[in-house]
This record gives sequence, structure tokens and C-alpha cells, in this order.
Amino acid sequence: MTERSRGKALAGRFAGDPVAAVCHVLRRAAAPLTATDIKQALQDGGVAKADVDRVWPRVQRKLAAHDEVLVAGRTYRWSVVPKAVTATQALELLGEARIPAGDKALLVDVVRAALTHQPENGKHAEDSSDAEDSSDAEDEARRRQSAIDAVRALAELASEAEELAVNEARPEALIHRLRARVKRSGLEPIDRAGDETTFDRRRHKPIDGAIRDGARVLVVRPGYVWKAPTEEVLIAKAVVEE
Amino acid sequence: MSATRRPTVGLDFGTSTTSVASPRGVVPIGTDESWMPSVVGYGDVSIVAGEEALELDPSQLVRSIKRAITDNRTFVRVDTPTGIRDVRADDLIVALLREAADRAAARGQDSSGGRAVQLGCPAMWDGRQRTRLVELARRAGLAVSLASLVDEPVAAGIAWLARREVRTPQRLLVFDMGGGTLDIAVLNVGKDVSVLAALGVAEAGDALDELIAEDLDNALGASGVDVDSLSAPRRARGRLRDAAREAKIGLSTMEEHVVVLPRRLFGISDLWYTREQLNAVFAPQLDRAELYVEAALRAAQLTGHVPGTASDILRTPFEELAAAVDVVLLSGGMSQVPYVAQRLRELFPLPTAIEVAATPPESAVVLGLANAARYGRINMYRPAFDILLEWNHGRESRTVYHAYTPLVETRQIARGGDIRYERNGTELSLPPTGKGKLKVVSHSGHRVRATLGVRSLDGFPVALNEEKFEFAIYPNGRISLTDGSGTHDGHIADWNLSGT
Repeated sequence: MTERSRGKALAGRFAGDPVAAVCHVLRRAAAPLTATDIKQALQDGGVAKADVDRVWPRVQRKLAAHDEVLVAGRTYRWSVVPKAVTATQALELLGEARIPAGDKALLVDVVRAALTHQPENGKHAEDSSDAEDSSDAEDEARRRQSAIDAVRALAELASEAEELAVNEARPEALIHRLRARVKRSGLEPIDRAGDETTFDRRRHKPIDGAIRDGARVLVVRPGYVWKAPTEEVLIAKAVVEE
Repeated sequence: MSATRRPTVGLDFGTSTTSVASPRGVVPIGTDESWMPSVVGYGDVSIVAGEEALELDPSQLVRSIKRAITDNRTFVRVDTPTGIRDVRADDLIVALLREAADRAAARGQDSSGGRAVQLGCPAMWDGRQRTRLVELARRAGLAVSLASLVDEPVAAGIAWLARREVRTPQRLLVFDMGGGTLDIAVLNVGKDVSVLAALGVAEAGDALDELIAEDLDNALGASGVDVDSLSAPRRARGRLRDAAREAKIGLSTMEEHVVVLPRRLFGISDLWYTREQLNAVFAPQLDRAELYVEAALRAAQLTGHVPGTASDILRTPFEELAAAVDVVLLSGGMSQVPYVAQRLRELFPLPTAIEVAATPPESAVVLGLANAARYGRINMYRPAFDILLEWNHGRESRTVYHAYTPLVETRQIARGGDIRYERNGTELSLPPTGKGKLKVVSHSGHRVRATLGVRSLDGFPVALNEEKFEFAIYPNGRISLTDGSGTHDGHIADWNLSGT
């Protein structure tokens, strides 16, 4: 491949995936490269400087997390040593002929650590049946907590209503406070007691008998919709009368 | 990073509450709440912890016992069956942790050995504080080591990460505002979680309640009610403090909140308080919080493999630092105040998402702890290893670097120049001559891959020389050693320092 066609190939690669192009540069480099070296290599390969500068911050972050790029100080180096290499893998890699010198010290270190490190009491991963055994107690604790939380919300509402009544809160203050409290549990009211509206069977329930859709009605009691994280549940329709 | 198959349990020993979680979710351990209060005290016959302690006389109990570790206090004063005396804070912490562990075990979360326990700790804790918590947890029967500790903001990041598949690395800023402290951490997440910077300050929610109460007092004044002139001003102020707490919660979902007052006491029946008013009293606190966000982002530049000196980093416009953040994560109870998200939204550019770390945000840390074993963790800000210099066949040694010492101090950034952690031969009182070697002791349970020249840092031979010896670690992982034989450069390999 000529220099010119090689340059075209790099520019094309860069246009498709800038990180892949930089990895290509690093793979071919004989020594660690600085950011300036990499940028220069890309420009030599026909990539416009402005394009390199524009994507560089993003590329830089990806390189830092790349499995086969070793970042050391200001330099970047292609490394065949996986980041989570085991001692066995390290030994196998050391046996390969084309291991860069810089990787060898790391691999030796892995093997040495494995030889000197004792496994913790020889324990191995436990069988998942243990998790199943404990899940009953865990589930039961959660069920109990859900029941307590629901009843607590009710108790707090009753407590607040009583306090507001004794303090002779004005109706608009009382309604505002009660609605604010239930809103924290995801409850949204349907209509307001005392308001006039048009009957809609999907949202309204007649206090008695039947009402045709579109009839003017008076709201006796508001309804509530529960806006749960994944769905909306109609808890109670607003009770109305003609 | 390899995943563990051992079932895990997360234990969040918080300043106000203590919680437990499994990877399936929070495991309730309270008598009525999902958490247990972090309160401990002396009953008639023994130490009691949790809800039972709350029933003691205030002189017999200690709230926020975790602060004894943060403040490096050995004793706390408490009324005991043998009179008021200074008791060892450690004994109280052990009792609290044991109570939490027993309750967890009763709910299927045995933490004495069968399960991998992950314990949270503030990101700002040093090695001594971390070791103290681990030793106390062991005394309480928990099977833990330093490798079991996870920085709290990292845990919050993991809680977020565990709910999604991250295809490309993301930079997160965790904004964890609780009742007692504000913790800010900058993380890179992908398959692993790397801490680029973490700082914690005593700047948090408790103060807001007082400010709202003062504001309500002023609003009453504007309505012609002078609290000091009321028939029972002390009682009235007590009511206002309670109303302030309610207003803060009420305004988390509503634009306005009505404070209902007993007419007999105040002469008026209600007072409307708006989110705008709350925002105004909260603003100065969040102004300061923004400065901490900026400091954390600048510190993260140093560890984030971005070349440059402190002067370069000081000159970097804030907008540029903010633009590098993909997601701002809200954690802690105070995150539910909408103004927090609003201010962070204004601070960061639109492509940066503002999200809660978990629902509810105060459970983020414990949920992250329960999932922490799934991710490798790398603390580039406070590396999890000691570097020792040994000589005389290991009979003598000095600690050249103590694990969890921050490599970057905020004041170093402010000063400018070259930023690094360094120790010299005089500080270490080294012998004038002789031969020694470096030893690396990892506290993460995993080896440290670091080199000097072509050799491993662990076992590197050192020509002892008190005058010439200089050792430095730079925040980007570079290492430099000068000894009697010359200067050697090396690096910590891609900061792959810890994890599971």
C-alpha cells in the first residue's frame, strides 16, 4: 500500500469511527505516543486538523476506558494485556513471542502476585440456592414494609386532617394541604368537590342512577388517579350528581 | 472486570440512618421504616441501638455517632448507668453495626461470612478512618476488609449504573446532599467505575430548615404578627420550625404551600409560602455548592488523563469543564428539593442530563453498595495501596505513601504549578546510605500494576540516600523516584488499582 492510499484509508477510518482510527495509529506505533503525536499522525494520514481537534476530547475519554489502550502519564500505548488479566492468561501471553517489552513487566507482576496471594480461605462462589433460601425472609420484610408504608400514609393524612380541623383552617387551605400530601404518593385528583363539569363515564360515577355522557353535573367527591412509575391506575372516579 | 457470584449485601452506615440492601433492593431493617436510626445509647443494663435508643433520655443517647470517626474523636460524653462519663465511641459504633447486622441476618442477609459485604464510607475519609470502620465492623461480626469499603458517591453512581447498560464511557458528577454533608464526586463509568475527584464539605440540608423558619417569621412580621410579642413566643417558634420542615417537603411537589397556624396562638390562620421564597433562602447555600462543583471538576482534570499543569487547569473556562460531564446524578434527601435540580440544570449545558441516582434518592448509596461487586472500582484520587520502603531485611521500613491520601489537595490547585504527592528522605528520616526496596501493599484485594523503568514498582531496589531520596506520584499516574543511583520514572498502569 502506498503512503497516499494508506493516508486515505486512515482518513476514511477516522470519518467512520475516530476512536478506531486512533487505535489503528497506536497499534502501528513502535513506542508510546503523546496526544500531540497521535494528532500529528492523523493529520499525516489526511485528517483535517480542525476535525481532529473537534473530536479529540471525546476520543480521549474513550481511550482512557479502552481495554487495549494503556494510558501512562501523557502517553498512550497499545497493550495486548487485558485490564483484568488472570495469572493463567498472563503466563500464556508471556509465552507468546510478540509481547511488547512494556507489557512484560506487567505480566510478570500478575504472575508473581498470583503465586504469593492466598485465596481467601479457599472459598468459592456459593450456589445460588443460598440466595433462594434467604429470599423468603427478604421478600417477607419488603411485603411488611409496603403494608406499613401504605398505612403510614393513611395515618399521616388522618393526623394532618385533624390538626387542620382543630386549627380551623379555611377550606381552600385544607384542600390544598390534603391534595399536596396525596400528590407526594403520586395521586392526582379528578375534579374538585363543588365544581360543575360535563359527565364523562370514564372519569365520573353517578351518585345514583345513570347519567348520559355530556350532561352537566356537580362534583360531589373528587376522584383520584395514581400515577405509578410505569402506569396510571384509576383509583376512584369522581362522584357526581345531575 | 469479573463479576462475583457470591451474594452481596450492602450496608450504609449513615450519619442519620443505617440501611441494608441486597441486589434486589432495599431490605427493610427498621421497626417501622426501611432504615434504622443511627442512634445509640446506654439503657439501664446495656448499650442499645436504633429505635430503642430513641426512647432514652437525651442525655443517655448519641445521635450521628458516625461523626466520631469523621472528627477523629475517641470518646463521646453520655449518661451511663454509672453516671455521666466519656465512653469509647468505638464501643457504641460496634453496638450499632451489630444491631444492623443482626436485623439484616433475620431478613436473609447474613453478613458474617456467607455473603460479600460492601460498606459505604465518605469519600473524604483517610486510610486511618477507613481502617477504623473496618475494624469496628469486624468486631460487630461483619466479614469485611478494606476492599469491602466503597466511597459513598461511587455507590450512588453504581446505583445509577446498575439500572442501565452503558455502551460508551460516561463522565458523571454525583451531587449528594444529605442532612449533614455535601459530597461531590466526579466519576468515569463504563465496565469499571473510576473516581477522578471527590470532596465532601459540611454544607447541607439541616441549615435550610432554620432558614425557612426565619423566613416564615419574617413573613408573619410583614403580615403584622410579631412573634416576640405573642403570648407564647417560644411555643410559636417551635411551631414555625415544624412548619418549616413541612413547607420544605410540601414544596417538593407543589409550587406553593399553605402553613396553617393555630389562630389562638398566632392571631391569623394561615400563611402562604411559595417555592420562589424557599429558593431565595436556599440560594446562598447552592451558590457555595456550585463553587465546590467547580473545584471537583478542576481536580478531575488532573486525574482524567488530561495533560496540563495546575495553571492550565485554573485557566480552563468552567463551561469547558461542565461540558465534559454527561450526567449529573442527584443523591441524598436534599436532592428532592426541586431548586437543587434547577440550579444544576442552569449550571450545566443542555446535553448534560440531570437525573436522580435512584428512587428515592436517599436510598442510592445502599442500593449502589449492594451492586458494587459487579463493577471494578478505581480510586485515582485516593489510591487504595500503601507504598513502603524497607531495608535491613524488612526489619526497618517507612511508609512512602499512605493509602487513601489524596494526591490532589484543593489548595494545590489554587496555588498553581506542578501538582503531585511527594515525600523526601529527610521527612522519612532515611539512613544516609544502604540498600532498600519498595513494597506495594494493596488494600483493594487486587494487585497494583505499576512500574519504575522496566521493573515492577513492587520490589524495586532503592539506593538509600537521605539527602537525595524523593518520591512523587502525579495525579495522572506518573511515578518518579530519585535515590542514590539516579532518577527513575514510571507509571501506575491505567489506574487499574482496585475492584472485585
